[in-house]
Amino acid sequence: MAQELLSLQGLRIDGRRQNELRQIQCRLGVLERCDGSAYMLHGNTKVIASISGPKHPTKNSANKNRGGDEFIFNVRVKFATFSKNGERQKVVKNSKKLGEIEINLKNIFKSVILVEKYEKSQLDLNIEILQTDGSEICTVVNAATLALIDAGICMKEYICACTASLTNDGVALLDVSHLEEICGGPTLTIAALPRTGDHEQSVAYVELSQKFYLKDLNKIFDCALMGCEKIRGILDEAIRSNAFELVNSELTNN
Amino acid sequence: MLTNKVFIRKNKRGNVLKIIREHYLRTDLWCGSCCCIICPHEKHDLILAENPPSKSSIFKEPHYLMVDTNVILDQIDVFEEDVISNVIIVQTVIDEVKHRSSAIYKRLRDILTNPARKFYTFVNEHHRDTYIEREQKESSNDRNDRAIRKAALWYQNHLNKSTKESKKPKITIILLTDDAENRRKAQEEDKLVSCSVQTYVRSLSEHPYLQDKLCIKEYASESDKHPVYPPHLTVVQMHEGIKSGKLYQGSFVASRENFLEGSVNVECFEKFILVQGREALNRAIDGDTVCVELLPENEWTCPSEIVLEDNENDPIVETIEEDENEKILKESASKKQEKQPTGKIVGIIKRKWRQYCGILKPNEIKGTSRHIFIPAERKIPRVRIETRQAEKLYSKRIIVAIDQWPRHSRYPQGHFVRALGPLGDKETENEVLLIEHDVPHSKFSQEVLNCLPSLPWIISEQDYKERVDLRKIAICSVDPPGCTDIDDALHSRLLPNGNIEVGVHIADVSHFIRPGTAIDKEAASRATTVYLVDKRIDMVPELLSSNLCSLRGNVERFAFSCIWELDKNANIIATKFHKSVIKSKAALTYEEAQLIIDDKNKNDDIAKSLRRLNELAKILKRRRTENGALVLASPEIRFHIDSETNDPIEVAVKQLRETNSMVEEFMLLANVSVAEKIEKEFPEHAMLRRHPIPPQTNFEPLIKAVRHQGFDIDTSSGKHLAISLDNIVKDDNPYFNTMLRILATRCMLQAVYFISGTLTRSEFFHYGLAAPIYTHFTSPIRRYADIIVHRLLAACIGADSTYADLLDKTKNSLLCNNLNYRNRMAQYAGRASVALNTHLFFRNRSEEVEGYVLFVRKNALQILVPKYGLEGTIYLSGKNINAKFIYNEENQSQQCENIVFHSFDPVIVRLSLDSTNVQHEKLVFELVKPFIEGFSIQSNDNVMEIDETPQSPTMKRKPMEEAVAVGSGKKAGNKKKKK
Repeated sequence: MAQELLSLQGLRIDGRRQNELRQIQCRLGVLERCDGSAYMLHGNTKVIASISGPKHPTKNSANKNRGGDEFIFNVRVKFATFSKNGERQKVVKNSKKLGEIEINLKNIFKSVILVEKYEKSQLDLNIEILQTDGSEICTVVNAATLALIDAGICMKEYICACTASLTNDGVALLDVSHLEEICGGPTLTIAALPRTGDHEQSVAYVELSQKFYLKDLNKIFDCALMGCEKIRGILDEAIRSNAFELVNSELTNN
Repeated sequence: MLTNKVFIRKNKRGNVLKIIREHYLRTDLWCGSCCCIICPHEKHDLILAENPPSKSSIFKEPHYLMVDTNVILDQIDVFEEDVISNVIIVQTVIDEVKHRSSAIYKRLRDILTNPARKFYTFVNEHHRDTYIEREQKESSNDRNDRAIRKAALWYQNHLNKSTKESKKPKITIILLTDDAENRRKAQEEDKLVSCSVQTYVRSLSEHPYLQDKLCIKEYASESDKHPVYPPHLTVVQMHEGIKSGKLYQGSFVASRENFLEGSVNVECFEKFILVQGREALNRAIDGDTVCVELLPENEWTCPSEIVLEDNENDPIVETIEEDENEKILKESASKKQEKQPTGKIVGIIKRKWRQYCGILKPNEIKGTSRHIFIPAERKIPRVRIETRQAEKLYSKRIIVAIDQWPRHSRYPQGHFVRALGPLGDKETENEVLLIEHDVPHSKFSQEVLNCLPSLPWIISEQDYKERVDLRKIAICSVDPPGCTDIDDALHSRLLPNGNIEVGVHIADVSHFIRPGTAIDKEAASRATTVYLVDKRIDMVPELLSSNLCSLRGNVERFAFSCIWELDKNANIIATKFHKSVIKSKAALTYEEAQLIIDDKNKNDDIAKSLRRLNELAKILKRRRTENGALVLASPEIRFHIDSETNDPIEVAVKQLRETNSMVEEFMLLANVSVAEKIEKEFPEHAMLRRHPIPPQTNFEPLIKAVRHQGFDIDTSSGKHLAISLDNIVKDDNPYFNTMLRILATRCMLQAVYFISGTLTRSEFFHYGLAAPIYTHFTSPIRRYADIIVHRLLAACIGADSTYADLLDKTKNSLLCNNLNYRNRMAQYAGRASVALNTHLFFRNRSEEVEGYVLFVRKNALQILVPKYGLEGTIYLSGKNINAKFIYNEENQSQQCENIVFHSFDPVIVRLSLDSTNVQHEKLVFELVKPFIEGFSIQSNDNVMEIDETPQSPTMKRKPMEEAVAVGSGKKAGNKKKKK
């Protein structure tokens, strides 16, 4: 590993400290034609998520579902050609990697959406990744949460995702950038429901990119969960200010 | 708290890439000064003194220093001195240093992490007020200089504000830079105080000796002086040349015997490229990576085979004319038949300068500060240094670093680093050879000692549960006398089914040295225990090496056991490995063990066990030799050291007993068994040892030498070689066979550690042992590789867990490189120590002994003296040698009248010590017999009887006057008048 992930002065390559998130900016309702949408900037990772539905199942989906009454939830993820560092890349549709992300997202959100309310209906989540700089899955999950809320879908809780990594000396690093990902440490991705009423945090999704030693798991897990809590605060604030703006504009219009 | 700056970088790797990275600028980085009242410091951040006392005569006011990158790179020796403190190092400098030289970065890091030095790191690149972006058309160097100035300016303003408010004495920032342009900009544009390092260090009037450590580099052009050397090519020219195939890149190896000769090892050539003459060598120093140009084929020559040493006085006026030496070289080289690719060095790709030990050459002109330094290593040229304490240093061993080698200077320029101690002092000389061989020998740090278990060390119930209890078995260890780090013990017993159980128990060092701890890192860096004649430099602290790990007699110790079931013919029926607790019944020496085996009256468990082991070992050895394992020889000797004075009083050739071979056989067996096991379990990550098959060209000198004796030697495979070596015996020369084996050993390559995943299976072969797979398992107290192997084996059998680095192929390969390097160095250091003690032994004594001609050179004979394991040179031509020798190249012989010298001919030489050169005390080899007019010396009758030694029929005696030839212990020496 050429670069030290954490300098002697306790700063990471990009100048953050060990437990700091990158900058997060988000907006709700960025697109007009869909039922709900959100834009999310996390470090240099940019994502737009849009929701269409709940609506009548299209013929296609209904067929797939064999005419059952279940809630149909479709997820589509797309990387923009210009999203990665370096040259433009060919967009591969239906690749294995994308398919895996889509299935994961489906499972994550099915666990928080109040499915029983949406029987016999269909919900489509479309994700466009405009730019990548590490922790893409997190950004996607966070953006999708915002889009779902913007669309007014009933959910148990916010679902927030965050990554954490580990330096050689066993210090946990919060929110991994692309450079830190390729520099070698293991990356843990967590999607969590920070608080559900009186209940404790619960985790909806965990992914590990590499092997590491079991004794470090708690450290890295706690670090990522702390990140989720922080992100929840940011999302909450964005949603509240968006709601406030909506109410304000409604009031002024009337 | 976070500000964001996205910046764009272009990265060229074939195609242009646009890389976008975030760069956060912070407001929570503090200045680290005790006088600051603005920054909300934590206590541990306060590093810079409130009122730094000024030691400078120019800058009387209190000040902090700031430096640019080149200052650190060039003057790290100065900054390592405690005199310099209260220094601010900015991140820009650290990043650049790290990029340019990892060795200096490490040293800088050591300074920075030592709070007593008061060096503060200011992360200017992430500070909101000091970060700057590169401007258009600005080079990155200029940008960095500007960033440093910006940080200095910020500091100055920040401190001014702070001291003004608190009414404390003002603190100035002094920017040290050797770049005149940078200095001008700092003074004029930023109104900063700035000066060059030289000016500053010279102004430290209380510490005049600091000046000696200054590295004097001239960045200015050298046009006004007369160049001695042709210019080097630029990096771009070299790069293009190499790409187009006109130039070659390789590492330069200077010749030890001839200072005007060297060779370059280029990968695509089978042979080395020869480089001859001062201009062709063009300032390359041993170890440098250089760029060579091949000469046209008609200018090719061959190695001169003569021994030359730089004896000239430093000419005041540098000349470009060929000097005498060069003429000799040309003449001697031009006549030869077998020409070799010859080239000249046109550029240096990478310098591999280090610090060199040596002495100061006494200067005839009194009071001058310019001196010539003579390195102890003959491959290194003399170095010009400036020092004001020369009188004090004449009688001392000193260390010097090379700074640069400009075209107009015959010798490189350097600076004094430190003095080691008085010349000739044993401690100093030991220190010199440790430094010269890069052996880490400082005391273990507190951090390392903290990793040791606390005493009294008690084996807990838990330990007994986890380990197999072998305390009742009659285990004993067999080692050389005086051995305190016992890492192996043995046992054997009869099994009910008639087979024999044999156990090898190895000290369980990996139990005490846990991965990742300070002690582990230290051991990994030391890699091996180094044995000098009178000193042992431990790899692990003594508490472990001589006590807790050492399998001493009658104490309970942890061991890693390898247990076999062998049948009567020493075939392995079953193997198992486990950790155990043992209690060795006896710690024997080889001699004691031999006596027990031979004493028919002894019939206790240990005696029976040893006899069984001895029988099995004989079978194992025979089988191994049949498979083609080589029996090699090297002249090894032991010193008997006077316990009072620590001076050697007697020399003896090491004796080998049956028991030596017995222990060796079982260690080999254990190593092979473990190697098979770990390779099976960790095919990608096992640490193994291989001994590459030497290329046939390596054997050429051996084949040539043997052919003149009328024998043929088959070197096509290890087995054939072993058979040949066994068969070539000369009845009239009992030492002949041993000499052959010594020569054969020199044809071999070094055995090396490697990671199994990095090579193919067929390359695992161990040539010397004729084993398809081999590793080191049996000496974990003194070798780090064994510790890794222990950990791997423990992981295999579930006794321990793995950890990340153990299964990291790249990291372990790097580790292997270090182990190989340190092992080689330890070996050289050991040999150098023997040479040193030989010199001490011959102080005030001379002796006539029998020796053999090992090689016949063009102007010298190389002589081996078996009694002392010594090798030396007798020069056949020179200023006061009257005899005329005729060199016959065809059959490698020297003839003087009717006396002919061939390789392997016995001679009588007189050994004495020549102390006229204080740096290199030399053993003088003078020919006594056969007697040659004008060359040999008269025998002293009182020394020893010489007529008993066998004589070659070609030798005849003639009485004549005295003449002299000189040689030194291991290396060839220089010409020197004696009387």
